[in-house]
Amino acid sequence: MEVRRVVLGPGERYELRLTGRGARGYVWTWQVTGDADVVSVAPGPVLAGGAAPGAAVELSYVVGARPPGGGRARIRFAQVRPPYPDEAPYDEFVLDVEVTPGSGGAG
Amino acid sequence: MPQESVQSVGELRAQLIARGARWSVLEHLADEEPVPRPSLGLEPGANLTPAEDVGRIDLRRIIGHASGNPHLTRRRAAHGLLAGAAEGAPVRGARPAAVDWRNRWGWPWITKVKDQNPCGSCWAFGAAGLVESMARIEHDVWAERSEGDVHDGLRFSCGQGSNPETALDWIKANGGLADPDCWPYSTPPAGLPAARRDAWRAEYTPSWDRSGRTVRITDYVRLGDVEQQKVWLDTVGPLTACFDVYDDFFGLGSGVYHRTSDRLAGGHCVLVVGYDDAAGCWLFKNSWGTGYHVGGYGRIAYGEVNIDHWAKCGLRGTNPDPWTKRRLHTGNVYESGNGRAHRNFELLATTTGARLQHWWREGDAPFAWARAGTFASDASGQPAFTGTTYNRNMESLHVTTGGRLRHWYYEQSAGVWRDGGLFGPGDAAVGSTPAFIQSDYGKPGNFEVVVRTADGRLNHWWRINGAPWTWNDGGRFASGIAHYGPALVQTRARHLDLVAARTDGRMQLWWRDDPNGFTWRAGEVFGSGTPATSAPCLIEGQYGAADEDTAGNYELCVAVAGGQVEHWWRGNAGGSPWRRSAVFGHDVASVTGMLQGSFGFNLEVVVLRTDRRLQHWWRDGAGWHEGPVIGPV
Repeated sequence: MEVRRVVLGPGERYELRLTGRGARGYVWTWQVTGDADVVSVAPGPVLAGGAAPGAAVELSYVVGARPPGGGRARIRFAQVRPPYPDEAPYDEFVLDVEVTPGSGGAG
Repeated sequence: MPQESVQSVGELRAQLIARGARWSVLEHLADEEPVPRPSLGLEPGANLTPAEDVGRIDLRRIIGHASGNPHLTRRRAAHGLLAGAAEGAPVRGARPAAVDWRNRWGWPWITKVKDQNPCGSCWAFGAAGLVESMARIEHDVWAERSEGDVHDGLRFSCGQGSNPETALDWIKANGGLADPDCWPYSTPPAGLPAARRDAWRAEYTPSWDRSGRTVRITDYVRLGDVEQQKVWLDTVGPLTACFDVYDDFFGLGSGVYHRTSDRLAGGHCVLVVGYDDAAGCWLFKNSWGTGYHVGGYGRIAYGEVNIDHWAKCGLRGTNPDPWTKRRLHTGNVYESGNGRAHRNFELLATTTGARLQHWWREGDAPFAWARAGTFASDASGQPAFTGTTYNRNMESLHVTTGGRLRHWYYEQSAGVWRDGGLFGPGDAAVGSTPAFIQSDYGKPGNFEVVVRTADGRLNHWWRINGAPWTWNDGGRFASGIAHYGPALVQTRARHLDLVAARTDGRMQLWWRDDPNGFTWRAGEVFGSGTPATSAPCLIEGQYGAADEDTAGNYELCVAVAGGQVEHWWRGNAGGSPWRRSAVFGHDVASVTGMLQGSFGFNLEVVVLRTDRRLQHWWRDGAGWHEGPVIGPV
């Protein structure tokens, strides 16, 4: 399982690209731990398509650093099939995000 | 302009309400859970045929003849598609408002929902589902197929997408689609990193008897016109279909799916197994296991997500293999894949000079019996006759005038009968018929033979189907056996079952306890009180076989005192005991063969009459019918 670390300033965004296997019923889910309020996660823009049925695709997700910053969060992405919660994820990815304190922020 | 996307299942539910959607989200998803959001879909160039490139086709030319399935013949007649009907537009009002192949006319026709997980092989599952369902519809037999046969035969990796047309082209060009025991659908080994799983590829090495265990196909048919697709579903069978998947599709539970999301998630292919005009939708069988939609089946509105943009593919003219039909026949008759409809009957019987005469019956009207070649010179009684996975060779076994067993086989590639040699006891009951089947021990499966001996016992012989091809004595068992013949079945649990007639006129089941030393054990005794006068014939039929994994009923026919035939059955799935369902016939000396073929689940029986002539009897929904006299033995 890949673990990646990034440092973001408040208001900065980080685009993450993951392999989508939606044509096989898989979806990416994520869970935020640590200082969960310092980051946000949202699907990014749809990337170019055009592959054959069943093929994997590239997906993007945008991680945003929320002001005023000053915290660390761990985002664990897991690629799962929702009707089968007992199955092991097909793929997993961990993003450790450090959000630096913004200027003028408290303390 | 940014694309809209719901973030959570709760938001999707709210969106469905706001947009008046006719479908609901899977109940097991909590509101706070996210919904999927991949990208990409089907685009021109994906090697699928656009529907508009196909347009309307001449259905009358393609399916304007009687089907092996009598229900479909009636449906084609209702549409005016059969020869002799007036030329012109299809008959208005002929098409029903809904078709659902999961159950039509009281029978199931679709194999169970499978799971392609985790590979991108929806296209192989769509094609295999089409072959399975058409074999069932055209030949009344469950024929589970392997998606891995076509997927790995094409040398595709786990993550590689494709389309049903590519799969069907390969199946047609490579001798059909094999069963899972020949070559299974396999997925990357556990523990393989996700990054390498998509590139993983199985090394395709099917069993070497593959040519004898494939459902063969001819040309598939592309249909582009939606109305013709519905007529096809009504008069022929299911269709493959491909469409775009949006990120709300993964939550589809019950109801009719129509798109409420703008985020494309991929391209997908399924098997369309029906339609519903009242609801305005296609009914499809997905290949993501039974957890999705409703037990793995979903409904998509007509025209949604490009499902009608691409041509759908249909199939007819399937040709099942002898392995698929191995439990459906016994004795001196079986249904081969020969003939236009791939349902000729093949029959062997004694003739003058202790020779064997090959007879056959064409699978189309007027169903006349004809003579083929003769061979052998030492047959004492009626032979056992079957097709095997050896390139679909015909195989014959008879008791010789010297009380031994002799094997003959018809080599399909050379078109000649060959003497397979002499073996067995020196005291086999002269004039009796041996039981002869191919089991699933080994690939090609072993031959298993049981014959009555002169001392009223039963003797099992078997041959491993590999060098040095020797026959082995499996030992003697039972006693007080008056008549024994073509009544040997390998069960789904792999053990052997047989039924013999005892000297007290009753019948008894014997079974081989494979896990405990391959010991033969006595089973239940049954009978009507009218003594059996010849050997019973036993098959495992399709009645009671609710799906491809469920054992069908045993069907047994035996000649009894008074020259009649008693038909007995036992419910294997439900465990119901032996019951006599009918007494029919006249002047019957013995029942020599029995089968359930491609004629609407009818039972077919060949009897030897007291005037030494063979006669065909058959049973449909109305009961037993006297068929033609075939000829002398």
